[in-house]
Order: sequence, then C-alpha cells, then structure tokens
Amino acid sequence: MQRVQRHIVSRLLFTLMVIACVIPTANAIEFYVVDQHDKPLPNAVIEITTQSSEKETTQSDISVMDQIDKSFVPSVLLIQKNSQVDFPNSDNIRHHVYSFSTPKVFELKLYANQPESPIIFEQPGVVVLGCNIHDSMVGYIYVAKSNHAQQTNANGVAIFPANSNKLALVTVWHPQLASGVDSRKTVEISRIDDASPIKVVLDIAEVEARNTFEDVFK
Amino acid sequence: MFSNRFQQLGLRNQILLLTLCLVITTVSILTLSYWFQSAAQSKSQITRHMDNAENVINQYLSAKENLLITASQGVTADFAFKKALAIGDIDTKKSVLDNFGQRINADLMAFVDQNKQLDAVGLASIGNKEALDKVIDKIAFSRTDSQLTYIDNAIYQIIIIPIEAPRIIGYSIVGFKLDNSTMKELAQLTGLSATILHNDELISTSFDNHIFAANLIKSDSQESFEWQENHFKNRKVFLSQFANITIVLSESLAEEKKELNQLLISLIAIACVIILLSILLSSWISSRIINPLSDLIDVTKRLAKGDFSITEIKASSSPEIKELNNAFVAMERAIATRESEIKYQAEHDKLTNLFNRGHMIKLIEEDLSQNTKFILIGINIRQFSQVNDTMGPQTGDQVLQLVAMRLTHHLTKLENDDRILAARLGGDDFLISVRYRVENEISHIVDDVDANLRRPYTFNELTLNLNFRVAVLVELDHQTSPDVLVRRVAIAMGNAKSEQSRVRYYKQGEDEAYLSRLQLLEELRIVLEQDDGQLFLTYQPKLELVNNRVNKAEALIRWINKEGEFINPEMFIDLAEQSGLIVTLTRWVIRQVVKQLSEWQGMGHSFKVAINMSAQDIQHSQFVNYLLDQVSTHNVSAAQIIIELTERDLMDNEELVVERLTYLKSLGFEISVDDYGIGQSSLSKLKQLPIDELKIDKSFVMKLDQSETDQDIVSSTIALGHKLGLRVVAEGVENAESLQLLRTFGCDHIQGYFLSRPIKPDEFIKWYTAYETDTHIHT
Repeated sequence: MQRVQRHIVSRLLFTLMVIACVIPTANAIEFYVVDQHDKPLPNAVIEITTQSSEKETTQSDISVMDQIDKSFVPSVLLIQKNSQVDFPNSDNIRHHVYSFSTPKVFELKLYANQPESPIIFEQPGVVVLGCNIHDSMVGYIYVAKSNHAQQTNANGVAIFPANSNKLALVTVWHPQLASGVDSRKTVEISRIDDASPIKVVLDIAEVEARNTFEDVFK
Repeated sequence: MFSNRFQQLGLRNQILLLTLCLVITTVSILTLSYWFQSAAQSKSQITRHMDNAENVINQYLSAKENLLITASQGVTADFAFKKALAIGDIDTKKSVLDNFGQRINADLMAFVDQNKQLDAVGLASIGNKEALDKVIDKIAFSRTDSQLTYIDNAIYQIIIIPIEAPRIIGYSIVGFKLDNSTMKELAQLTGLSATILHNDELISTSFDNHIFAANLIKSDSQESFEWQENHFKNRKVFLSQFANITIVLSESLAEEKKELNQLLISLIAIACVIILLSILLSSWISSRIINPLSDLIDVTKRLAKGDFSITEIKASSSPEIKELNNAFVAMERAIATRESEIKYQAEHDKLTNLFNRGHMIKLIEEDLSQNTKFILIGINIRQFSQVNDTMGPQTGDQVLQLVAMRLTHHLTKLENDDRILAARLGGDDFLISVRYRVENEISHIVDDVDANLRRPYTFNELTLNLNFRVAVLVELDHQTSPDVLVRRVAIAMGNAKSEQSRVRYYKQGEDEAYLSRLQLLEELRIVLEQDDGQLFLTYQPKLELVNNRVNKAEALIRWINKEGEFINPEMFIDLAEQSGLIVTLTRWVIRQVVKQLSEWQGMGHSFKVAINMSAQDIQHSQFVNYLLDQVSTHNVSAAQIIIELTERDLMDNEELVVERLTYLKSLGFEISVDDYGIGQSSLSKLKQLPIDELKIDKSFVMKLDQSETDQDIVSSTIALGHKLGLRVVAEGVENAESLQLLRTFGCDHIQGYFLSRPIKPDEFIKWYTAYETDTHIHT
C-alpha cells in the first residue's frame, strides 16, 4: 500500500516538474491545491525554497492565535521562523494551550484573556496546538523557513510574486495530509513560467471512522 | 421346543418361572429406562452447565473489558502521561508506563507510536520487548473493544487506547493476563474447570495438575457424550478465532456416575427384594393351586379304583378350588350312582330283576369257596313258546316276570336265614340256589318250590296254569367250577325234557356221558363232511310172504370209526336228532340209497328200499325238493322209496307232516309207519294219515311163537291194517315158527334175522342171488 502511494506521489511530482519546465517566467505564480477528490483545499501551506542563499528576513509583527468558542482561530497560522505568536483567550473560560511538537514544545497553563507573553517560534516546522482541558481543540502553526510561503485561500489558490522565479523546491503541507502532520508534499520546479495555475493534488486523510469508547459501554 | 420343555415343568415351576421372568423383565426395563433417562438428564444438565459457563465467561471477559477500558481511559487521558509519552525519553516513558500500569493493576502496559512501532514497554513482568514486538502486527489498533492476544506463552486481554496530544501521537496497549488464577476464578464462577489454549496448546488452567489437564483436553472429543475414562466432559469455546485462542470447559462426571451407580445398586437391591417376594408369593399361590390339585389327583386315582368314600378335599380357601371340589364331589356321586346302576345292570336280568347268569356263577363261586351246603334248582317253563306264540311276546314277558316274582317271593318266605339266590339264565330258564342244613330237607325244599310255582298265575283278568320242569343238583363237589355245576343242572334239565319228567335230579356221571355224546356228535359231523367210508349203509331184505319173493329192503346206517369201533346207531342217530344234525345225516342216507338203487337198476334189480326219517327231516323246508332232486338225478322211480316214520314223528307238527306226506304219496312214494304198536297213535288217526304200510314193532314179533298175547296182538293188528287198506310188515322175525304164524295171520312182509341180518350192498346181491336160486330150486 505504501509503495503504491509513493508511486502515485512520484508520478505527480514528475508531472509538476514537466509543467514547470514548460511554463515561461511570468509576473506571478499561481498554485491551485485540491484533494484527491479534486476538491479545493483551503489552509494548505505552499513553501518555496530558493536556490540562492537569500537573506532571511525577520518579521517584527506578532501573530495571533486566538481561542474563540473552544476553537483555535485561525485553525492554521502561517508564520516565519523567529516570529512571535500571541495566544489570547477570547472565551470566558480558561484554556490550557500546549504543544508537544518538536519545533516548539510549550505549555500555557490555565489562563484567561491574555498569557503573560507571546511565544517565539525559533524552529521551522509544524507545531500542533492542543488544549489540555478541551481535547477537541486542535490548532496548527506552520513555521516557515522564509517568507516564500503562502496559505491557500478558501478556493485553494495561493499566488506568489514573480520574483520568486529562482525557486528550486516547492513543498506543500496540509494538516490532514494522509502521510502525517509532519510530512510535506514536495514539488520540484526547475523553471516557472507565467503559465498558471500550478495544480497540486494532495492526498488527504479520510476522517477516521473510529469507534468511540461509548460504543463499547453500551 | 421351548414350549415343550416349559410344559414338561411342573405347574409350580411354571408359575415360578413366569413370575421370575415378569419381575426380571420389569426391573430390567425400569432400570434401563431409569439409566437412559438419568443419562439423558445428566447430559442435558451438563449441556446447561456448559451453556451457563459459556455465558459466565463471556460476561466475565466483558466485565474485565469494561474495567480495562474505564481504568486505562482514565490513565491515558492524564496530561502527565500524555506529556511523558510525547516528549519524554525512553526511560521516562517506561517508568510512566510502569507507574500507571501498577495503578490499574494491569499486567501489560506498552506504548506504540503512530506508525505502530513499539516504542516503550512497561511492567517488567511482561518480559522483554522482543516478545511483544513479534506479535505487534497481529494487534488490531482500530478496535476499541478488548481483544485476546497470545504474548510470550501467555494470553492477555488487551485494549488499545490512542494517545491524543491533541492529534494521535501513538497508542497505549493495556492488558490483563488470563493466568491460572484467572482460570481458577472462572472455575469458581462457573462451577466447571477451565483451561485456556492457544493453537491447542495449554496456556493456563484451573486444574492444579497441568499434565492431567493437557491429557484430558487432548483425549476428549468435543461433542460426544461418553463415560470417559477420566470422567470429564469437555466443551471447547473459541474466544478468539483470529488468535486461535480457545477455552475448554471441563465438567467432572464422577459425581454423576457415582449417583448413577448408587441408583443402579439400589434398583438391583429392590429387584432382589421383589424377586424374593415374588418367589415366596408365587410359591404360596402355586401351593394354593397345586396342593388342592394333587389332592384332586389322589381323589381321581381313588375314584378310578372305585373308592367312592371321599366327600371333601382338604382345606382350600380359593373359591375356584372350592367349586372344583364341589364339582368333584358331585361327579363322584354321579359316578357312584352310575356305577351302582351299571353294576346292577351287569349283575341283573333286565326283565325280571333276578341275577343274570354271569353274576349267578360268581355268587355260586363265593358259596363254593365258603364250603356252604346248597342245592341248585333249574326251572323251565314247559310250552313257554306256545304262550309266546298264542298270547304274544308281551304276555310272555309278563309271565316271566310273574314267575320271577313268585320265585323271589317264595325264597323270602322260606324261613331259612341262609342266603337264597335266584337268576334267570335266559329265555324261560331259571336257576335258584337254596342252602340247606340236613339232607332230608332237600326233597321238601324241591317240593315246596315246585308246588309254589304250580299255583295258577293271574294277570290281566286271566288265569294261567303253567307246567314246569325242575332239575335239581344236590351233590356238589366244591372243587368243581360253578360253570360245570350250572351245566350239570342244564343236563338234568335236558334229561328231564327227554324223559318227559317233571322233577329230575342230576345223576352222577351224566355230565361225563353228556360230554362224550358231545364229542361223538362232533365226530359225526366231521365224518359226514369227510365221507371217508366210516359211515355206510346196510340193507336188510324183506320177504313178501304171498309169493316168497324178496323185493324190498330197509336201509340201515352203520358207523365204524377209525379205531374200528362200532358205534351204536341208535345212540348217534338220537344225538343227531337232538342236535339237528339228523337232516344232514338223512340226506346222506337218501343220496346213498338213490345211488345204490340206480346201481342195482343197472344190474337188473329193482328193489324197494325203506329209509328211516325223522320229523325234523320231513319238516325241513328243502326236504321234498332234495328228495325229488336226488331221485330224478339218478333216474330212480319214486315208487322204489319207502319213507319210514315212527308214530311220534307223525304226530309232531301233524298238519305240515300230513301235507308233505300226502304230496309225496301222490308222487308215488310209499309211506310206512315204523315201530307200530308202542306209540300212542289211535286208530282213527291212522285212518286220516296218508300211509301205505304198518310195520309192527319187533318187540311183538321176536318171541311171537312163545307168546300167545303177542300172537293175538299181531294177528289183530294185521287184520286191522288190512281192514284199513294197509299192508302190514313184521320185523324181528327170528325163527321159522314165527314166520309160519305170520303166514297164517296173513302178514304181507317179514323182515328179520331169520331171513337175513342187515348186510352190505354187494353181500346183499350175493345173498339175494343165492336165496332166489335156493327158493326156486325148492319150489
């Protein structure tokens, strides 16, 4: 099964590369991300790694991961590394936000309104957020290496400026990737033309039909 | 075959056998049905136990599962636990697992990452990580319920709980071990022994002895119900088809078997008691039947011997036996009555109720053996046949009854306390036996009997005088058989008849004479049959005085037996007459005479021959035919035959005799009256008879020359005969003087020794030739 999946992925990759080669350089590069059912995927993150050693830019802004109505808002937050994220609590109940993800392990023990200080994310990667009190609360912070990262809109479209033509590697992530939350879909593009959009198909995990323990107790 | 043998057994044994068979069959059937029923019951009971046990086990496992889930859920939801597993190092993870495992008393605690790779194993008791690693891919991680897994020679009931932080970072495996103590717990709950198997290998068991348990499970077939050697019944229940884990429930049958054995023993004991009781009961019943039966058999045997003294059979309470007994008594009486009737009939004369001949002889025999003195008196009614003929046989019977009554009456009247017996021997012959004390009593007794019988008999307003002949036998030799005595009475009676006497005493020696006469008669019969020359005819010539010619002869029969003895003709002719043999004898004579005449005729002689005949001959229905047949066969003239009859013969059945003689005379035969002068015939009778000739009896002739009386009788008889137109013959002429006198009287023929004695035919011809020659020479 895994072999078959891998095979399909490599074939997709090859197709994208071919397309990239054919498309001539244009002002903007548009990506269109869909799931395996050809359904547009919002909240997918596309990160382009350039071949040149580009100077890392630091963002001084503090991003916000709010908690509203026992949910993380936004559900997926895209930041650059070394960015700060504030975790305000808009609910009138307390939350206990934590992360056991490798890029950033932290814990904001039972707080209301605003935690003491924002948290800085030094390592790129995916940080999964949870609440110790509310198991159903799940949120994601994508810590990108550079600023060449975009999040798809509700239509699954993300547009990059044209100057990013020196890209070498395109990775696509989505919280429900079948290959796991820490995995990426890698799209290698040698030359990006103005011919767009570039369609990316992601293998999304089906919602697992898992029995609840309540069933057992019946 | 069997039924034959069965029937050969006595009734007692038959009843016993039958009862035993019945009891044994009943008990066997009861035992068998009880056995089968209880076997079926225990089978269904075991099945029920097994079903219950199965349910209990399922519930037990389900309860364990609930416990497992509740406990492990609480544990795995713990933030610290999650945190440790998410970010802790391997030792931390192990210790966390140890800690939380001990909290819920689990036997297995492990953590598997989201790629289902074994990450950390807690609770050292599970053993090494490798053992778990081997089976990790056999665990269904998607299942939320408990599952049974075989790990490192043990069975665990495990639960998989995903660790969410908040996304699933891995799975926690929590398990309880199903070990021996678990099996014991199950055994306590179910009441059955429990053994858990993986791939049919014993893992843990409630049995203390594992080897025993292993053997038990191996040897057992799952479904069949049998009395196992080890007395266990097993059922295999699959707990996990996937992991091939089964639990074997074993129920001990020892208790059941013990109960069944006890039941069998008690049944057999009951059967024995019943058999014993039935033996006693059946022998009691059979004795109630058989004892009276054997009594009845005894009674029947005694009845067969003629013992009618038994009236009641020994005590018997059964009504059937009583009824049988009554029937027997009734039968006994009926037989006794009938036997006495039969005996009476056998001993008595039906008509007169006197004794019969057979019984009389028996009674005489008794008297003889007691040496009593008695006389036997035979009584015969004279001319009884005439009574029968003229007044009918019914009257005849009445007469016999009256005579019998007179005899009995008379005998009871005799003032003689000795026994007097009366019997009817048959027909009109009676026999009485009267005892006496002294000999001069005898004549009185006889006279008394005689006189009493002679008194007139009155019946049907009719008075009848009867005449009797009485024969008396006095001298009794007590060695003589009663048969002989009765015969002697009969001889005396016979003599009384022949002698025309009324009372005749038996004289000694008469019996012997009678017997010798009987013998003689038998010889005569044989001689007549054989005709071997012992019998022959002689002829005595008759001389006609008018012309001095011999032209007639009298044929006289002679008998010289084989021994050469001359048998007196008078004797044997008399015997022949008495016995009826005379008819045969006369026919022989007729045959001989006719042949002789025929022969002589051939020689040129024609004599007239006189043949003596008896009344019986003339009265015989075939006499005339025979005579005519003989005469015509030999071509002899009827005129050559003279039939000589005595006066007595003529008087016997006179009518028939006259008729026959008249007929014969008309055919040319001559009739001569023999022995004339000594009978009682009257002259008037003679006149009516169809006779030609008178033959003066020789008693008047033999001494004619010396007796003047005889001369008067003879001369007047001749004169009278001539007057009646008859010729007169004188026989017994012995000398010339007599002959001369007869010539003078005018007698027609003479016959006698003076002329010639009776001689054989050939001599007769010689004599005749010589006489004729001589006479003619002289004249």
